Amino acid sequence: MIVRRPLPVAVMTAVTVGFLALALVPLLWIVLLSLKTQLQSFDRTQVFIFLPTLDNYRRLLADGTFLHYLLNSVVVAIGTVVVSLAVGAPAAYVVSRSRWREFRSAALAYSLFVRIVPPTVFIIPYFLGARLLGVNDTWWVLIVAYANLNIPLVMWSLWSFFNDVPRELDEAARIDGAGHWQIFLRVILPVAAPGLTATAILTFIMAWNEFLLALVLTSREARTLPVAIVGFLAYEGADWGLVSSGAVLVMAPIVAFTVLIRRYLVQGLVGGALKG
Amino acid sequence: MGRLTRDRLSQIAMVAPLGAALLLLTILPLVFAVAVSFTDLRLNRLARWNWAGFDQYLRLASDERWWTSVGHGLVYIVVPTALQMVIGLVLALLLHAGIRAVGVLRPLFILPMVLPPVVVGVLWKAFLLPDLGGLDYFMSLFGLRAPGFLETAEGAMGALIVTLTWEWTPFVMLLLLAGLESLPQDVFDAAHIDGAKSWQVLRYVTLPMLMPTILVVLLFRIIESTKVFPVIFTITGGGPGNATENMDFYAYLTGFRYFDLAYSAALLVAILLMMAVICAPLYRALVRPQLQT
Repeated sequence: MIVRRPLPVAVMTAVTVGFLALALVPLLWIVLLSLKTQLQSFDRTQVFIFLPTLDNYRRLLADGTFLHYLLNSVVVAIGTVVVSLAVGAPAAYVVSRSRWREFRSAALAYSLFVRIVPPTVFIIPYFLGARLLGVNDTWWVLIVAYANLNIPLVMWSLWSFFNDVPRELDEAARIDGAGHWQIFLRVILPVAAPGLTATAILTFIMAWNEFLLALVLTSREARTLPVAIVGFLAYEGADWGLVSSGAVLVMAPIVAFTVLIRRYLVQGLVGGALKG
Repeated sequence: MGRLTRDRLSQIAMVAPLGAALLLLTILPLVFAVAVSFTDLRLNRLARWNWAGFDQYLRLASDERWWTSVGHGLVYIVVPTALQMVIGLVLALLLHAGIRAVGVLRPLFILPMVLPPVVVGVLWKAFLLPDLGGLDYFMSLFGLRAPGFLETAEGAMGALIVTLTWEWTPFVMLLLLAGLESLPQDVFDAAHIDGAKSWQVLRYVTLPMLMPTILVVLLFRIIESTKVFPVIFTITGGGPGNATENMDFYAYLTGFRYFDLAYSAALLVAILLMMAVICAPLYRALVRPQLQT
């Protein structure tokens, strides 16, 4: 194989590494900020070399409300994953195995449509609906709202993972007398397990990160971490010690998950759109 | 019961929850939002409301602040998206050229797009602040001072554009890289054997073959570029004044800070229609032909 490079490798490496550094500096900055005392954060002689302290984290966790919001975030994200997969996965199986073209393109249009609708459009009906049912500021209302936004993504992503499962496997099971549920549970899901895991993690990330609906639909009891962090910011003279350490704690699990699913990220995000 | 009937029934059972969710959680709320936009409902007096016909839409037509926010919204759709596409393409080409040392660091590259948007906003705000901010520190090494990003209208808009470009360039890069990796290698070998120069290969082979992927990525970026609420909320709060608020942000303020739910609903319906008008032709032209499998 002939590989010709347009520019010397050294130049290209330098450019790429430069971009990477640029991309990571703001991230590094907030991590450093979270490990500094307030005095240190304003001291230009202690930018990179300083005595790190966990004081900010201690302050953040000592309060107890942060742990409460952490619990909310975990429960809501896991609940969203369970509901979205339970609804989206069987449907994605039917769509991926269907020979009815109009049905497939309707399913596609639906999963894209919900993506096009700005989530802001849902805030008024959801807010009023939740109030009517008396479920404002509970885990349930967030789980249901997030599931609605994530089911199309789940379908979109699983659809392409299920398409990758050879149909010969279905047919073999079918000859052995298996019905659709058995094929789905015993054949498709185990074979597509990595894709299923990646989709679950992607859904977790979406729910964990969501801000707007959490802002509108929760107040004190069910508040999630992103809303809590903005709360530290809201007052005049934001407490950057709390903001930065909170931000670091919120992004930590996301960083870990991203490393885990990096191989499946592309397919999970755009599904069949790129594979044709 | 015959096997065919049983099969059909279980298929229906598998799709039914999705249908219920679609009906109860998507269609019904959208219809409800449209209905609210024809009333005079206010958040601080939910019990008393009247039908108001097209009043809210008439208000919208002559609401200068709304049209300004539409202008800002278009800026957030066009400018960051263009920057993301260009930088993302360059990075994808560089990475594809096989820089091994960088390949290992790929997961770090994609971090910005998976971080909570609130954290993205917070960390850029921290970076751009004059006193404890990093930008001012790095500029001070050269005897400069960072411009007051968050005080002027142009500065605040610039801060948002930088942040959004930073947040979503990895998405473009990642997808274009995947596209590049799936191109057949023999075409490139043939081009080189025929004596094509590197830039010629790029111009006449790589880019045309990558074009379908580029267009799909562009569509995704346009669709997602309206979802900038958390970043605006954390970095500028729509300010100074209302210099950086987009349609979404204005609709949120209208409903939940000024309590004007009916007008907010009208704004949201208008946003939805606008997005449909922008996205429908793109969808028809770009995505559907690729999905005829």
